[in-house]
Amino acid sequence: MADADSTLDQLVALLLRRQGNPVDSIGPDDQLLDLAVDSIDMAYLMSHFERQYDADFADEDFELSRYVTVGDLAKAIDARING
Amino acid sequence: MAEGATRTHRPPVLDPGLSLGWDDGPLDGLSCLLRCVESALRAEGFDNLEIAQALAVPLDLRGDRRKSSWFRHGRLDWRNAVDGHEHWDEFTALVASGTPCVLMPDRYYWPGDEFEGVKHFLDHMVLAVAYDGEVLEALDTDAPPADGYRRRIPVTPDVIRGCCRFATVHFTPPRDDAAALRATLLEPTAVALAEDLPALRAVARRWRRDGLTGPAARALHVVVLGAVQPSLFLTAMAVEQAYPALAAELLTASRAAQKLGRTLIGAHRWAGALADDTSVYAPVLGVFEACEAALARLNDELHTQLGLPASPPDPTRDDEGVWRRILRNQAWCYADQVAPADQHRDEQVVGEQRDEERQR
Repeated sequence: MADADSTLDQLVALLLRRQGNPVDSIGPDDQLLDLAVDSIDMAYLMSHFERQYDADFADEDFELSRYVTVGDLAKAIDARING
Repeated sequence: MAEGATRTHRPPVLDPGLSLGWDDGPLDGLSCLLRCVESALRAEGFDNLEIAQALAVPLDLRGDRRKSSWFRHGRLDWRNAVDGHEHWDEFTALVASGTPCVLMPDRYYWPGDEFEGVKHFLDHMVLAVAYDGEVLEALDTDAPPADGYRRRIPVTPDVIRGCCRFATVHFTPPRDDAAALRATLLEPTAVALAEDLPALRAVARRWRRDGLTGPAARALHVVVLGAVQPSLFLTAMAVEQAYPALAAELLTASRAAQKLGRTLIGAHRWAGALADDTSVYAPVLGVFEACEAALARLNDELHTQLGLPASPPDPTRDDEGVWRRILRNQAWCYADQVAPADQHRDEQVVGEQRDEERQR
C-alpha cells in the first residue's frame, strides 16, 4: 500500500531518473506532455508500479491520453494500488 | 521485385493510413524491417491481404527453424560488409534506378543517431528510396511524421561506411487458400509453440534468478518486436478470412508481445545504453510472464481449433533454445566484433545472420 503523496513522490523520482528528462524538478501540476512523456514511458512507469505493489492495472490505465498532469497520473496509480 | 502479374507501381511511402495495423505507431504489428518491406511491396501493387500473406511466417520462438531471409512467398537478398564502401556503387545504382533497398546502417556512423560516434549498434532498418549523388533519401519509422517518415541524408564518407548491410526485396504475389494457410502457417506455429513454451518458461526462470541486463534486454526486445509480434500479427491478418476465431487469438497474443516490447524499450530509457543494472528491468518481468501466458493460451487454442493432438512431454527437449536466441541477437546487435571503428572489412567476417536479428 502507498499513500497519495508517496505515490507522487515515487512517480516524480522515476520521471527525474529517465534519460532525456528535460527538467531539474517536477511537481504535480506539471504536464506530462511538457515533460516529453510518451506512451513508451507510460508502459514502463505503469509496469513499475504494478510490480512494486503487486497490482494489476487495466489496459486503459496505460493510455497516456487519460492524464494531463503528473498529479493526475499519481492519483490514478494510487487509486489502483489502494483499490 | 514482384514476379508474375502486371501491377501498378507507385513510389514507396510510409503511410499509417495505408499500412497494416498502424494505429498508435509504426511498430504496431510490424517491425521496422517489415514496414520497409511492406512499403516496397505496396509500391509494387500488393494489397494488404497479399502483403500479410507474403510476410507471414510461422511463429518460431527458438528462431532456428527457417532459412535466413526466406519467407513463404519471397526473400530478401542481403549484401553484408563491415565497410559500406565495398558495395556502395551497387547500392546507389539500385536506389537511383528506382529499386528501393532495405538498409541496416551501423548507427555509429548514422547522422544524428543516439549511438553516432558511440557504439556500433545495428538494430534498425530504413528503406532507401532515392539517391542523387549527394543526398540519400530514406523512409524511416523513426523519422518525424510531419516529414512523411522521410529522411534526406547528405552523403559523407562516414555515411557510406555505415551503409554496411542492405537488401533487395523479391516476392511473388501469394495465392493462399485455407488449406495452404493451415498447412504452412497455423500447424507449424502450433507445433513449434508447443515445443518452445518450456524454453520460454526457462527464460522467465533465469530472469527471476539472475535478472536481465541492458544488452540482454535490448536483444529480447529485438526478438519480441522484430519477430514474435510480427509473426503473430501477420499470421492473424493472413488467416483472418479463413480462420477468424484463431485470428482473434493470434491478435491477442500479438498485443501481449507488443506490450512486452514497448515496456522493454521504455525500460531502456531508465537504464542507459550499456546498463548492467538488472533492477531497471525487474518491473518488465511481469509483462514477460503475461506474454508467456498469452502464448500458452494461444497454443491451447491452436491445438483445440485445429484438432491437433497435444504434444507429449519430451524428456530430451531443449530448454535453452529461446535464451540462446537472445544471446545471438545480443552479439549481432552490439556489433563491435562486426564493425570495428579502426579496422577494415577484410579483417572481420560477418557472422551468421538470421531474419529476426534484422527485424527490430
